[in-house]
Amino acid sequence: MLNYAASRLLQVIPVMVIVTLIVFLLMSLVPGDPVLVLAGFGPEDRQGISQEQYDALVNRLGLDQPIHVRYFQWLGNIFRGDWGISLTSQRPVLTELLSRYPATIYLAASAMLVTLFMAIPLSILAARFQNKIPDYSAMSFAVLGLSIPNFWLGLILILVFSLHLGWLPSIGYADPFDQPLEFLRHIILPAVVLGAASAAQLTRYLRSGMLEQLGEDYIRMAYAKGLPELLIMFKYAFRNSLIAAITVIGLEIGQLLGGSTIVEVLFGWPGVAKMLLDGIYSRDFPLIQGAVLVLAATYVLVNLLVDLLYRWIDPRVRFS
Amino acid sequence: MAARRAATGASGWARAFGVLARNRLALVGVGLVSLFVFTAGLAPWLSPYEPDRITITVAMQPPSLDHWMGTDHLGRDILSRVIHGARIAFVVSVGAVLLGATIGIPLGFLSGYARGWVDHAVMRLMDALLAFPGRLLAIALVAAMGGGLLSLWIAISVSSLPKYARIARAAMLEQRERDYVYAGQVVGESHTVLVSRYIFPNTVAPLTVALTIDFASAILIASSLSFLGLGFPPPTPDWGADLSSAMDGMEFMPWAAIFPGMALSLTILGFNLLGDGMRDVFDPRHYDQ
Repeated sequence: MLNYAASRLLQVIPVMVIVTLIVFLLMSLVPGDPVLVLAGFGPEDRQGISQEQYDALVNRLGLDQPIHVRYFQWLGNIFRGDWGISLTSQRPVLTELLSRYPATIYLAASAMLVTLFMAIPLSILAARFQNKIPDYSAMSFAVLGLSIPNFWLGLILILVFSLHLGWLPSIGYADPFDQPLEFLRHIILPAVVLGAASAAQLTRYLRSGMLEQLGEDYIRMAYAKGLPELLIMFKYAFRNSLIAAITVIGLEIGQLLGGSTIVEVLFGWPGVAKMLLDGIYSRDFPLIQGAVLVLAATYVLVNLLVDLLYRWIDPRVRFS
Repeated sequence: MAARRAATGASGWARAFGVLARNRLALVGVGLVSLFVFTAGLAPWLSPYEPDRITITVAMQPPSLDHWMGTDHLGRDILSRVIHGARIAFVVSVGAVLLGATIGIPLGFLSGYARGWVDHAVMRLMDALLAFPGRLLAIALVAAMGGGLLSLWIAISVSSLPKYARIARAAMLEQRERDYVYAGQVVGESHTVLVSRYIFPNTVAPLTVALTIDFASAILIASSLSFLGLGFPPPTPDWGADLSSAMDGMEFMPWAAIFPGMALSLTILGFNLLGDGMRDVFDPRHYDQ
């Protein structure tokens, strides 16, 4: 297990290097003069800048250096905690991102809870009553959940639960430690919208895992011994199908982090993804780079943890 | 069941289509996808009004005989915008899927055929692309390159590259150890001929399933980008952008948010059902699931 953990950790390094390289190179794709873009000027501002000021900008931004030197300088700065200054707020990018990070994590974690609360009972019901009404209903939910875009689902839920019934707020945020009840009221809709597609995906996966387990000899043996069905379903079949599903859960966390851009914008949720979008609208490139890097690094680390957890939970793998 | 099994034998595509035709959900998928393609192709003739014609006097009208899906805050006919939106979704998704497949599949083949360091290098690059959660890479690329058709094609295809490369690599690894490939090598066929004439035809099935399901994903990502204001500039009739602009007046004209979303969802549903049906035909592991 320790060997596996060490080799899995080592695998993360090249992936993270390429991730940082992609994030760094994103800036080379930006159309227009990179000096003006990185300094926060529009193309029309070139006329108002003297050659001396322009050269000073090139020097300050390090753009007179070859690209590989700039990459290593940028990477070094990232490790030192110098992620640049946001062009819009003039505050350090890292400070801005850290202030928004908890909101994104609360949302992703709540959406994951929604995913599990929906997927587990639905998949058990579907597998237990295969090719009967509960199965068809669960599978219809799964196909619809995968087909309805989360922004449309969000709009419909806002229309029903906020505008018509007035039960839940359609926008805003409350701190979970200062106002826990308000926080709950605000997070329900975004978490359901974000978690629905992942729940659909996981329901399909868990159902097929359950069906596979229910066909195994040890389940037949358990029935033959006269064990109660609930025990067989939960303790045997479900637990074993969950082990294989853990990897899928890890991948779904990526969907949640990627999907959170839309949900944070739709519900005015003040997380990193909303900050990324605000950065895009105001062409604040240091902020864009920082936000993309934070979200991608979170995903890589979560998947690393999920992989290690998977190895640790499954005794067949742990003792092999 | 027996018919399904028969379809995976050597009898080929005709029997596979026969099996698909007996799967009711897949047929619903075929119907929805056909409707989408038909609407996209004939949009100018099907649409009752110009999609960007502003008529303030009929703004915010609920569905009626004149305007079956109502009008938006500028008096534009929503049905006409939904019909033309299909054309935009079609162009974006076809371009993105083809671009992703054209680059990803040869990369996967190369990786699986060459193996060794080439395989290692290509797959680590794909791992890094997969390290970006879902739509994030597409958003970041469009943010850097700006909106427009070419940016959307590139952004969406880059995020689907790893998927194609992995499927193509797996198919290649499975096929290249088969006897018929060794037979080809023995008679002195070149690598190009072996891959293009011998191996490729046998990898078409899993790749076709991946392509079909990827249409759903391409349409979803494209509409998400448009919803965030990163797609086409207004007044382009685009489902995602129209949903975004419907947000503000949703309380007074819910139809402006309902119909474009319904068209989008039904299209994605169609490709998902068709993709599931095709997977059942080609992949015996999915029988009875």
